[in-house]
Amino acid sequence: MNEENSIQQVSAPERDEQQDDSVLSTPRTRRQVLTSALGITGTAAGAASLLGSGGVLAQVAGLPGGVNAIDPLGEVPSVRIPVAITNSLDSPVKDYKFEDGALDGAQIFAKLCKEEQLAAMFCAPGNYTIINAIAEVGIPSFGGRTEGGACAMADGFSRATGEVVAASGTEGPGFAHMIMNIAAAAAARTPLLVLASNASISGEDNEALQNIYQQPMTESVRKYGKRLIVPNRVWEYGQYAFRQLKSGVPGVVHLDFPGEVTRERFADPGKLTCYYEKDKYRSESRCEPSAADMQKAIDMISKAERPIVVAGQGVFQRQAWEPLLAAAERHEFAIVGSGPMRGHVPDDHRLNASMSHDAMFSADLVVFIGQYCMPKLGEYRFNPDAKAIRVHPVPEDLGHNWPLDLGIVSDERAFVEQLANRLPSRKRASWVAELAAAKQKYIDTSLEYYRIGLQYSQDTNTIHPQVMAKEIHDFLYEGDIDPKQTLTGWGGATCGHAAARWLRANRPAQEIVCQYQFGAMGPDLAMIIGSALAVQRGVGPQATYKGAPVLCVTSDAGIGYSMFELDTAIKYKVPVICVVFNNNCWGMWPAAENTPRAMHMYLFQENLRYDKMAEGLGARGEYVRTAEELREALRRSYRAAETENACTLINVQSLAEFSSSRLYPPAPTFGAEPGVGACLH
Amino acid sequence: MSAKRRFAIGLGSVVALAGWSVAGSADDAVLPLDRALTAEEARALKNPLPMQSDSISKGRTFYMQYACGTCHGDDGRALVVFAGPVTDLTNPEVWVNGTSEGEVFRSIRDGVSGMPAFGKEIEAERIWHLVNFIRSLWPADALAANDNR
Ligand code: HEC
Ligand SMILES: Cc1ncc(C[n+]2csc(CCOP(=O)(O)OP(=O)(O)O)c2C)c(N)n1
Ligand SMILES: [Mg+2]
Repeated sequence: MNEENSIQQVSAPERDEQQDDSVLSTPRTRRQVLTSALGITGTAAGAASLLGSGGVLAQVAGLPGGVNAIDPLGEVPSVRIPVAITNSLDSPVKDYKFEDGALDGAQIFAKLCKEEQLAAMFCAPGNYTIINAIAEVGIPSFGGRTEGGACAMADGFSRATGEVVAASGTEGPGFAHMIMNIAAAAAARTPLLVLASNASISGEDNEALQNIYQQPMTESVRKYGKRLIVPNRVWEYGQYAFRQLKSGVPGVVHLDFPGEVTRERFADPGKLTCYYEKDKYRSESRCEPSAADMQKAIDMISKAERPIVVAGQGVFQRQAWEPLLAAAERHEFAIVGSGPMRGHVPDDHRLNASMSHDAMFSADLVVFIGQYCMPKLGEYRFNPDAKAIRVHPVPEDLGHNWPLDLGIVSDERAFVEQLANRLPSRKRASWVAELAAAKQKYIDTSLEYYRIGLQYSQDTNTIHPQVMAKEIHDFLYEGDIDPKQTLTGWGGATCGHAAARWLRANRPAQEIVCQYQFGAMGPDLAMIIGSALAVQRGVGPQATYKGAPVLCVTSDAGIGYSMFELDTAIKYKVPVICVVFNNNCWGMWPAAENTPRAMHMYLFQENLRYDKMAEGLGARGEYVRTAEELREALRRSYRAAETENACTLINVQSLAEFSSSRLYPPAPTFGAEPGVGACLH
Repeated sequence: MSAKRRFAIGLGSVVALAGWSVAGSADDAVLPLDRALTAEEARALKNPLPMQSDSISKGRTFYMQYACGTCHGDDGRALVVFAGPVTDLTNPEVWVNGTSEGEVFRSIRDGVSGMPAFGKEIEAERIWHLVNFIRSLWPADALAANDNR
């Protein structure tokens, strides 16, 4: 099926365009068509004479290659972006209309995605009819190096914007490769549309190539899923998907498409079931809090001495941060953000408790708003005896994990707006002072960790994780750069927890918590490249800092999963600085201390040159072993990012031993939750 | 790692100790401020707080407040191993860093393999409450066997 598909695609221009006979002789076999299309006819020299210096075939047919595709022997050609990519990105958008002729199932589905303003689609080739149609209708579409990477990029785009995104992979293998990152997206309640081709209905159970039952594989991580089986219901099932993606608590929707559905052509939309527009198949209506519930909430908050609001992901998703900050200012309650993105409660706001972990326990009322992933008592640093209110867009989860004194079904924004309008003005000087003192303690403790780490760095000629994190902090937030500008994200264990302590979010989605709830090592760089594409385009809350560089802190284990997506970042010209904490190991090696024959499984070769590998992918590479070298490397990399859209990988040489509190105390790991450092809920 | 420095994992001997201290402790006078305690020093420590219900209950609160359950589970049984194998705090038979009061105090204050040192964040008195709480999770016979050690 796949070969058939490619042949048809490459032969189409042959029919449509005036071809130069010396380039494309006829008649030809299918194989000849395919090989010439890929620019692999004959020897390199033969191809050069065929194509001439201008790459005639490529220009004529819009195929890979382009100007200077063939380099003279003797010189090692440089890494570069082929003009075919630029040409492809510049080619016109199609508007699929039945008036212009019959549309196939894939085109009909793409048309619905366009009408639903699907924000972006990420894929590795496969599921060809669908991805081609989605790209053709002008939905921003990106091809990555792996399906897992594509899925993480989609997730990152959504975490940075709150938008619905899609990730696509081929049949069995591409889809199966996505699964870790589908699960990560599910844990983060990302509105992610997973699309995969899946053989044919007629060939089911015949051991067909790549055929697997996909739906059972996402059963535990999706909000809704469906193998489409009736071709004329493709529009209808698109509606199912977007109803789920755009209402209630977001989540993963997984559709798999057999060939019968994507290929069937419809000249008459009347043949499609439920063929009507989106205001008829779904509603934007949201639940307002009842008057009685609202009154109770106002009374409880007013009576509390030390109230704190946990502004969950729903506050971000519903863009309710402004009324929330207004309510907090007016009534002086503490606020702390939670969720897979940070900054909807800015760290630099005076009422933000994100660093006041020691004061959280004295809160006498906790109000969770849009906390999609509920901690249990003890998992957030609140006193279990404190009163609790939870505001959630759907009733099913109220009372889950955390015992409530009041549960309210309401849209987050509607609730917060009422709070802002109805809470009386009030001062809570001692609560505010307690929060500030706790914040100071957190900062002092962090500085102490840094001071100890600096000594360790000097003793070992390597970079301690606290030093790496503090240098990045000072560079991004205390130097010449606007401290609200740079979007960041982090992964890894030893390095991630250090980075999480020092990274700041001073505006919505300035920081992406890549590990949120699922704790997967590896998706981080790909995820942040997805976020970077949102920054590049200034989507949603990223508009103010459109085009700014982004920075990802990842680990040596993590980079093994995502490194090749640097190619994707460079291909789409997004300036990403990737800091790799290279401690020569999976930082969990102390788990093997008591089982010596197991230790080797936790260790890598030492001093690996990720920077050189990145250079091979077209990025800049930097290798650093001191704080000063790191500082300079950050400066050069940021400049290159701003002036040339360059990507850089900074290889921060460290030591495995720093993960051991025995050898190098105190080796802090998990941050207290909620707030700065949180990643579990 | 630099060529000069051999891999120290598993040896447990190369301990760099710059500026390591107990935060705000009533015992500052007797506990070293700038380094981890040795096993001998730990064993010599005596819990200043009797293991009674109010201390145990404070300890339970601090267990929550400092989120020990993130790794050890809210019941202390450590059935989830995100952070590598974690000690079942309810069964002293499987402990590897010593079960005397002082040794438990040291594990929390100075950290153990795979667990951070909490001495910077938790003052000594609170750590002693935690010691009492954790020991209260043990079976009675195990506790008796450990008494006065
Ligand atoms: C980051 C995860 C993590 C956190 C948080 C954590 N621990 Fe641990 N803890 C561990 C690991 C891993 C071990 C096992 C170490 C070993 O096998 O030597 C351990 C061991 C211990 C031990 C020693 C048991 C023995 O084998 O001797 C005690 C006591 C202990 N933890 C108490 C606590 C207390 C109290 C807290 C909260 C203040 C806490 N832990 C928080 C990971 C953690
Ligand atoms: C995909 C995946 N594999 C394994 C784990 C288990 N795990 C958690 S942290 C960790 C070590 C991480 O090492 P690294 O990412 O290099 O971070 P470091 O601690 O070395 O900075 C492992 C293996 C995981 N969480 N996710
Ligand atoms: Mg590592």
